[in-house]
Amino acid sequence: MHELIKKISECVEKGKINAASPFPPDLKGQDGADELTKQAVAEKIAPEEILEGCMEGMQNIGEKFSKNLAFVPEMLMSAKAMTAVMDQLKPFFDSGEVKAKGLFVTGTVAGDLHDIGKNLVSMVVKGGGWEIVDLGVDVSPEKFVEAAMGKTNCVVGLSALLTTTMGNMEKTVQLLKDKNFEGKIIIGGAPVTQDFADKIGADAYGDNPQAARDYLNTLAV
Amino acid sequence: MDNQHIKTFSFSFSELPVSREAITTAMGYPKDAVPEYIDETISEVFSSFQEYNDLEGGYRVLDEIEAINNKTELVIAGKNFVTGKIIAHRIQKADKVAVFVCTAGKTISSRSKDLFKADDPYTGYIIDAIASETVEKAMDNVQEQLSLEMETAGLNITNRYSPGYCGWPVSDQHKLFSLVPKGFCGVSLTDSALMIPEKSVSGIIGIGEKVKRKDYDCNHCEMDVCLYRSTKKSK
Repeated sequence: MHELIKKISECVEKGKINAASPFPPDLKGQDGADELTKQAVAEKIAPEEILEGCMEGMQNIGEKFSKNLAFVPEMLMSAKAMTAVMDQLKPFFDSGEVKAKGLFVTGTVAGDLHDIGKNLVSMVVKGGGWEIVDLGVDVSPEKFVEAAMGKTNCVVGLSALLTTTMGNMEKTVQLLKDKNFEGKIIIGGAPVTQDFADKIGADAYGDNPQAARDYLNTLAV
Repeated sequence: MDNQHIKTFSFSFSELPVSREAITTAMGYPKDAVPEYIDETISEVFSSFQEYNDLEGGYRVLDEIEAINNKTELVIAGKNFVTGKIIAHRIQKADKVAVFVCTAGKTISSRSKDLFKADDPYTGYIIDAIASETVEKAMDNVQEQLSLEMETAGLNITNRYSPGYCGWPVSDQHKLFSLVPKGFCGVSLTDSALMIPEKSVSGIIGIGEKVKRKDYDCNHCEMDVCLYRSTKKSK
């Protein structure tokens, strides 16, 4: 792996966004994901290779997160560093030189305004090379249908934090199925379980952002 | 609306005992493993919150309360609430009920969202955790005021219970808010029953000679997937 890619990977894992970023303390004053990606692009390193380094960094922090060795703030900093990489790579996605793996339509279901988990998943999935349509919070089943129907390689991600709004996940899944939505549906959130996903007919359950991204990558075109 | 049994209180952030440990625990950090940068960010937010004094809370005490339908629902002042049996069971012996609302205020509530929008999710998340703890502390204060008031009449109070928890649907919020004056404590509802400002709490507290406050005990709850049950298990 190219030295610059290794550094980008480390910046993503440790949440080092740019040179001005004070986090993490051991990389203070050094270039971050933003500057290093600019250098990598200037050195004509393939965007796919940069993306791979970025994903490795996210994979590492994701593993720490799933083992309770890192927490949401660290994940958010990593995701932000990854966004800095993606911003530098945007021209390659725009030109079609790098293709998005698919479209991820996500939102917090109706009656629920908790969005931190959903935002984190969006950032991690975006870093995995997917195009994101984030519908926000308190999203009705009809809005999910409107955003997802007819889209190519589209996956819908539903989030909920309250046990009492989980029922709206079922309504959303049902409406998507009634409308013959051809893509997959993944659900997640603190009270959600695999059993619940099975019960309401969702295709997958992710208990952390990494799991969501890993599932989506099995569907990538 | 009869205002005789309505009380409201206002607070400033600086007078509430907002606990750093509760905030870092809610974020998942073990007690002895909170990174220095998290502590520093919490300190910075605490400093910037000192001036905020638009936190409000209050309650209205109502005399009509009855548990019905095999103690799975409560009828309060003629309105039927499908609270589920956990809440109805805990409130069933109450002679009165206090409907409460409490908010951390517009400014604190919007700070987190503003930071997420401004591309600073790290600080936004920490502020969200602080704001959640702040509104709970403000509500602790309101609940204590209710407890003191009822104590003088020889009455006890129960724990507080809110729509969205213990199986009580959020959609009952509209009925709950119809029992307090419009815009009570500066809190309003969206069509889908979400509270504005976002960092607000609402619910009921039972009052009577035969009721009492209990420690939260997940073993009495049938909801295996509750957010707070998960927190307790991971400790």
